[in-house]
Amino acid sequence: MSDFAQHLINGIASGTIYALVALGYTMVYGVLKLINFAHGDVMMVGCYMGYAVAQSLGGDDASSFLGVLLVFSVAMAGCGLVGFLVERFGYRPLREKPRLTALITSIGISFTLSYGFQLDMGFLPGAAPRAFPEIIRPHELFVVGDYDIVIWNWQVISFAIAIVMMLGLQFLVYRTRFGRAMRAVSFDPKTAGLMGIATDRVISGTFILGSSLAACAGLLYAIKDTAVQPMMGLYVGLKAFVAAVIGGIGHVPGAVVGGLLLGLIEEFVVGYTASTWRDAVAFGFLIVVLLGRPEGLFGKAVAEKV
Amino acid sequence: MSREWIKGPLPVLVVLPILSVLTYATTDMPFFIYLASITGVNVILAVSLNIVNGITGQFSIGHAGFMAVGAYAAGYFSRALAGVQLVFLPEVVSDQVIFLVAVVFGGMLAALFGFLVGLPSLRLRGDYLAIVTLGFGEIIRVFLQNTEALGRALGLRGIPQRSSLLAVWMAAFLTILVARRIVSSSHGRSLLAIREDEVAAEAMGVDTTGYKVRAFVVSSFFAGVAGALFAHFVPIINPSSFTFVKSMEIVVMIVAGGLGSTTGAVLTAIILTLLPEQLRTVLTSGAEGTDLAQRVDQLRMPIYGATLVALMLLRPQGLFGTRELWDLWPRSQPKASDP
Amino acid sequence: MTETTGVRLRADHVSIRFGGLLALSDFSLEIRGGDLKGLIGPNGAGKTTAFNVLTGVYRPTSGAVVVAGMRADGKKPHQINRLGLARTFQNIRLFKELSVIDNVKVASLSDTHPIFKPKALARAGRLPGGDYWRAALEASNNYYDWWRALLLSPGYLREEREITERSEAMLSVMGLWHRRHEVAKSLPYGEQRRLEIARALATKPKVLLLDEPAAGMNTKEKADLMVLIRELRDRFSLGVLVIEHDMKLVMGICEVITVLDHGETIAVGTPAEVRRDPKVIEAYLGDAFVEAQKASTAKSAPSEAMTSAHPEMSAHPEMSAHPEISAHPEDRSARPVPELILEAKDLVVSYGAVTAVRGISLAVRKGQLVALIGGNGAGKTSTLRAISGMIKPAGGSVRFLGEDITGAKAHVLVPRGMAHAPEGRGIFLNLTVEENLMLGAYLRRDAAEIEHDAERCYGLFPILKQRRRQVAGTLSGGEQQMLALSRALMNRPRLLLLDEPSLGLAPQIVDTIFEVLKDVNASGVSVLLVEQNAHLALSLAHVGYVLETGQIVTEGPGPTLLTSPEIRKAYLGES
Repeated sequence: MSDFAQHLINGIASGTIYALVALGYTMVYGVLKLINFAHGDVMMVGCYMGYAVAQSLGGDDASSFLGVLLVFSVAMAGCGLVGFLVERFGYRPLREKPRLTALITSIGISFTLSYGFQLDMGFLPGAAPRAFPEIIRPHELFVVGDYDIVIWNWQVISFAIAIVMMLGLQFLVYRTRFGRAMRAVSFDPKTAGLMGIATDRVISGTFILGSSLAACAGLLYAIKDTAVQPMMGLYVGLKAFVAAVIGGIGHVPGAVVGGLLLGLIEEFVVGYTASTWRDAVAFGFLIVVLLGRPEGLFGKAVAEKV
Repeated sequence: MSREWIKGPLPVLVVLPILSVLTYATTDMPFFIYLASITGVNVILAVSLNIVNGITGQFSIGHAGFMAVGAYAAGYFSRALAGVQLVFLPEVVSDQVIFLVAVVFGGMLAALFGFLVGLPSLRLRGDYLAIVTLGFGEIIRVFLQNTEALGRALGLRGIPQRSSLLAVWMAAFLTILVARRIVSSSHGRSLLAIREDEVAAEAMGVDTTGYKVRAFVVSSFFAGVAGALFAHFVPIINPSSFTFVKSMEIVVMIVAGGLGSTTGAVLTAIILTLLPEQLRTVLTSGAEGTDLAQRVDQLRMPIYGATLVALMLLRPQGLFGTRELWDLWPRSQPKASDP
Repeated sequence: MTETTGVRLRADHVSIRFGGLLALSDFSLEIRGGDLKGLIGPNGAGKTTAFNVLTGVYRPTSGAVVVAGMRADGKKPHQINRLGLARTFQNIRLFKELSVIDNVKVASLSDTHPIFKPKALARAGRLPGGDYWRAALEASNNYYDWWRALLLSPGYLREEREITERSEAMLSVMGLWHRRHEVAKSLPYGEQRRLEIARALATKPKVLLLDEPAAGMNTKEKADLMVLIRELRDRFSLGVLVIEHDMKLVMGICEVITVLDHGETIAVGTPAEVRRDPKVIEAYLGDAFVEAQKASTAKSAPSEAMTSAHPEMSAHPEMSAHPEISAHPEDRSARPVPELILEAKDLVVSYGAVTAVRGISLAVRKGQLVALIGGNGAGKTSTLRAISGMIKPAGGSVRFLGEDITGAKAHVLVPRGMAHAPEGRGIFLNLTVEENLMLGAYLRRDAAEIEHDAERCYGLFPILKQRRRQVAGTLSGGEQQMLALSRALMNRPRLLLLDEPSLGLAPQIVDTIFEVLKDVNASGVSVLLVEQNAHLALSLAHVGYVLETGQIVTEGPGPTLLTSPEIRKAYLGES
């Protein structure tokens, strides 16, 4: 029983992170109908920015509220910029081309980033994982029995941050002018133009937003894993993508549910078998969902117009 | 008309002796053989992936998964029968027969997996297929890593080294021949039609789902064959040879060659295999070369990635577009009376 | 000979429902060998839906489709094609990158050479788990066919030669033989259309369905096409069903015409019968049109064809019923000409190889309501799109409020005072009513004024206020149209572009909307209105333009045009 509870806690903790990244996939798919394979790697770049800031603040000594705030804001802003550049120079020129070209481009960008960061020349960090500074000094908040169930402070903090981010996004998308524009563009970009909405700017905004969220999620992941490494984007990204598809790609609350679901399933499978199966779980789950309900849990099936 | 049956096997009859002579002439050049074998395997992989991605217009990025299935299946089979000699045959011949059976077995198993993966996912929209194939590749890899009998992460060792230049390049040649004959057959035209416009193809009587699955099966069969050959000339196969980095490598080859062009796939497969190897050889001969050589190895993947991006932005049709070398000599069309 | 006379395609009370919408209801049709039938109806009447149901793209909600004596509904499109039903597409769907002959060859399927004959398949199907056995045998058959191709078996080579010969023969018939090695996308538009027909014929159909074969063709090409369709019907003893917007063509070649409106069959008959059917005229030209023209014929001439121009028409008695309209021309002569709001010159719009608008010039002056009318596919919507910046015109120029705006993007024109309520209403169905409304004022920053304008809109259409928090996808068609109009008004436009506000709506709702439109116009907003419902539009308009195949065929004060013979000609293809 205590095992179960612990897995539940861990699952929710990693699920919220997947959910945050998944939101970026889903929003970009919403406005561009593009699977942005590079999303996870943009996230990874953001993590390294956070890492650099944390290091320059004094590594493990950066553990203060202000330090955390600074690390997160720099990483999120920087990552937003990277996301913006990727869209501006990678995808926008291909807007009118067949969808496959943009998909291949995104795969190319993903590989350039994840393997480029493995080089150890110039500012590039090299392939080896770097220990992420303890900007949130870990201690147990809640212990049951003889460490049967443990809740760490960073788990609570990261859960809180993730929830705040999601609520913020919810507000942005459903309560603001930009959010309205975003939903309008995702429904019908041509008509959105007739409303005076500059679609290109909304798309850029969506990339910036999604990338910032990803940076935030990436930092939470780095804190959990106590490390950053160039390949993290690829794997976290893929899983988050799976979460987005499971929730129904393009569907914002679906991404959150998909993320949580994936986090939990992964944690339970790994918990009751072996950790080496971890990477197969997400895809196995994906295939099962796609077979049963290809449009995802919340998505709507769309028939092609002839 | 009566001698028409020769048309089918003719190219094989021509190439077989040439390859045999070449194989015989290079028996004492192990490095050349290794290099040529690796190149040949990559040619098979690229040409076979091109059947799905280029000709049928789907987008699979899990080709290494099928290669892994073929490699492990054939490797395991060969290793299990390593001591067996077919009584009525001399040892060399018997070994080669078992090797042939192993390769076909590897291909068939990969084809079966192709069928199982393809049947459900090819009903889905294009970009979902990409993610499902990627997922399939990863699942295979994780499965191999966790299976005791297949050596887990350490891999499968002790597979008899029975491959030869002849075997690899004969297989590569057959792959190319099959790809070419498919394209110029009515089946190939149906595949091309699916690439061009699935709805119209369906309306013209093409069973689109069936054709897509068949293209997928043929493609995975050859990926399995490539894997099987690979398993018989490298000392050890382990899951890290079949990650999706390998899949991406093949994708880069066919995209750079021009999606849909078999010629392009062959040429870029050769170039992209030899270039890094050559660079490595050249560099390691220098003074501080080993370091540089490592760097070249490291640079390979980011360069692949950047190449993909640059190609899509500047020349999305790749080197060859959808053209072929043999288009230069158009086959004589059967005469029809001028109206 | 029984082959040519038997029923080859039968639709039996077919209905299809998408969500709440009954897209096609109780549709019945029979095609025999040698038949040449037409399927017409205004935009959104369900014609293409009917094709899609017949060819298996959609599965009917109820009813049956029978092709060559076999139940076809529920089968996949390729299976139905094999039964003998071939089609072309509204927006040409060739295999663009393939050569002309390969396009035809794809369709010239050879017979398969099964190792397992149908009898064996049936036997396997009766075994336990029979479906799987059967599928396995079928798969083996398919793969066996591939082997023959890979080994270049003599039989296979013979088939390939036959396919080539057959395809070349087909291309000769269609006059495309000399182009056979060219890439399909490089053909001129008219030849692409012909190639699509050739491709469909290569599947050896018993019935051929043509979906707007003349769309985008010029008059000469259309005439050739008419001859060709007849010829093909006779040569291949086909049954042919044509969807076409060009009435002249449909009326010219079809023996029997089925008219759809709102998914319902409103008339079946010969061209002459259909043309005279009040319901058809109503569907196409608006209900009041029938009376107006009746009155006009009774007064001016006894002949039923109104071919001669009537100079006295502007003083027609029908107009005295609308004093507010007949007053306009006098207004204009009395006052100086109002300032020019919009001026388009020689506007050309092309979609790839298709030219939709061929040099249109029009002007909208301050306070005017200008109507752009014409049949389906005349180029009305494309004209609006080119003006509002949704698409880039291929030629000509547009001036708005004195500035050249040719090729400017839509979102740049919005703040200058242009509002476009697009075809199909363009409501964001995923947003609430209020959010949709607010998007109309997206670029405005005066929150208080926006609120005031929103209230005004709610005043115009109180139902919207009730539903303001509801997602727009739940609105009825009429409510969506009200929302579209309101949303456009939220921009406080100087010029309002409206695309078919009456489409698919019940008469009372149309009245409501046009009542509001009249008020809006009276308050000083210039309006450019695209309408199929000619009477409705022209009775309101100060100026009307009549479009036919992308060109203006006639123009003049609205009420004058109303009784002009050109209109019936443009809509119903009379000559």
